[in-house]
Amino acid sequence: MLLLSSYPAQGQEGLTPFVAVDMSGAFKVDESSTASDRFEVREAEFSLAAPVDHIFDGMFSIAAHSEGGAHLFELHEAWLSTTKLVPRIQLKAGQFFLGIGRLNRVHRHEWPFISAPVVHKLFFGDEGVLDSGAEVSSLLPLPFFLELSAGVTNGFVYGHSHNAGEKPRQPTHYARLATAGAALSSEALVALNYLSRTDIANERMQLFGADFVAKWPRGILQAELWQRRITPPAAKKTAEQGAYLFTGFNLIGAIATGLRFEHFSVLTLEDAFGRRVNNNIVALSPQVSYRASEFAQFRSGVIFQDQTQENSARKINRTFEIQLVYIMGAHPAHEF
Amino acid sequence: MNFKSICLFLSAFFWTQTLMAKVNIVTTTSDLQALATAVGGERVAVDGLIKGSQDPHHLEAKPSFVLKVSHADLLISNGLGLEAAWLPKVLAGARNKNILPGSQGHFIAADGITAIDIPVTNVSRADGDVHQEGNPHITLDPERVIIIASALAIRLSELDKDGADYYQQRAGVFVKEVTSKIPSWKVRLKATGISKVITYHKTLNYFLTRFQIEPAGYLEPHPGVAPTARHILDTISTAKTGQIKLILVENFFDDTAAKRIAAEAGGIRIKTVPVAVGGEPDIQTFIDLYERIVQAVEGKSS
Repeated sequence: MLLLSSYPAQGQEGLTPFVAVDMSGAFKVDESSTASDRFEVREAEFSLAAPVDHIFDGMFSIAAHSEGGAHLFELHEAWLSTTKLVPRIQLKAGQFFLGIGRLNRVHRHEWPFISAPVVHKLFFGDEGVLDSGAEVSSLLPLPFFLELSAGVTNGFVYGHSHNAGEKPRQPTHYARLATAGAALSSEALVALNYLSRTDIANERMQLFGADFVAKWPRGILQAELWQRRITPPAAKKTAEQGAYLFTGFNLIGAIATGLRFEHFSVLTLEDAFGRRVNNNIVALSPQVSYRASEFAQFRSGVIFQDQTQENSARKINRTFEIQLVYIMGAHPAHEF
Repeated sequence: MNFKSICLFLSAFFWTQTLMAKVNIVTTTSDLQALATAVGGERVAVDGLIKGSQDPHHLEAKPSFVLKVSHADLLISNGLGLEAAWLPKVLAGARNKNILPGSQGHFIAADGITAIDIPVTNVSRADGDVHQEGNPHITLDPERVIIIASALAIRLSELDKDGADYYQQRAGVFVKEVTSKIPSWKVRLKATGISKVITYHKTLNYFLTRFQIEPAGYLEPHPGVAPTARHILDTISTAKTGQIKLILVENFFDDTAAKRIAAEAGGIRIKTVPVAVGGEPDIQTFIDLYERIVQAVEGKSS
């Protein structure tokens, strides 16, 4: 959901071409860090959006990611959508980022921080989960904001994958219920999410989550809480849980600061005797960003990550990150 | 109460509700909200998305916007790219096909207006956030607001045929009120002797041009770009050589750069002005708004 192109037409046939380049680097602050010590183009995305006809809007994007040092373009999103067939309903079909959570619905170059929180990396990948299928969403005809979305996608693979996968026993299916409220100059949106998929080996994965974002003229508060349960056919069920909380504040002019706190834990980790093993990943990530305009931004920050596990050595990982994002073409959409 | 009575009561209730149903209008800006209220009167219910004290360029597709637009019978937008960054997202989220661009339920105020500041050469992002179609701040010109009011009355008459005479009559009153004030504003502004003004952004260009005041410079080096040290120095030079006596700062912008220029150039007044209806609590109508700007040029304190 990058841009709806039906207003205004920005080129011939209403095409809105759009290029976003996201460069980033992660550098070791101490030897135990797992950072790559490399600055590179993390992603270069080229998108086109336009009305297809009087009913449908189309969206197409390709993106080059850095994978093993090579940048090869691959199909990112290609979908058709309409709000004109059924009152108050948006229908979408094609390949797209699944409409759940907060980060998964926003392209990475539009995230308020440089890299994904641990919980997002583990449950959705570095960027997000995309797949081919259909999604329906409705803004319910109520005096308050209540948006219900649901989708079904192939589910042959889950997350970023370069293989065809195998037909799952149960395709990926998900739902999201969001509500919002406003007070004074601030506004907040909160949503509940559910996703499930059962693969060819009959292993069922379920995601339960809540996402929250609040914005006011000079700041943002964003959070997500997720729990993943995996039920293998002949083994114990596992459960993992993670969350992050980010707050950003515009200091002066083009300068903004931010701080992210995150936590992750495997809830079902056990030792050889079946006893629960306490384990935690805690991270704190301060950042500062300079926004020259809506179209160019530089950001830097440090991740202080502390990983503990009962009866194991503590791991401390400190990483310095930088990011440079620029956008060319159509005016970027101001997503809430 | 028997079944027949209940049916009669319900029929009467729904008939009354239908008769009382107002045209539900949502406007993007507070200026258009004031205009819709002036023309629509009692036959419409008007809600605005942007407050008069907000910069209309830098907003997001908030859920509250989406909710309001989802219930609208008529959406009134400014056009000329003013809402281009966020309105498409609001329209997509609202899922209300009746108010999509091109439909009768979407009135674009700029459609019948001749824009100014249309770039004569190809512009790019290097020139800032320039609106290719022209300056979008059309409602700062009383003459153009009159044209918009007349066009809006026609659109409302099409949507609500029973109220056609009512809308035409109210638009006529609005046009007459504004028209009657223009000559005196012209006289008063001419009497100030102010012929050139520096503003923060190109917001006031329609107003200044209407009253033969030259926009001599801007505090922004490029539209949408905050004042830089280099540009402030250039503007000090412009102010000195152009004998600028007045800097008008739109009230949602910072006046720090204006103060620096005034201090360096000398002999310059700075006035912070509302540039939209609702931009200050006591600016409730277009006449209040234009009167306040006239007073600012005259040097009268508000």
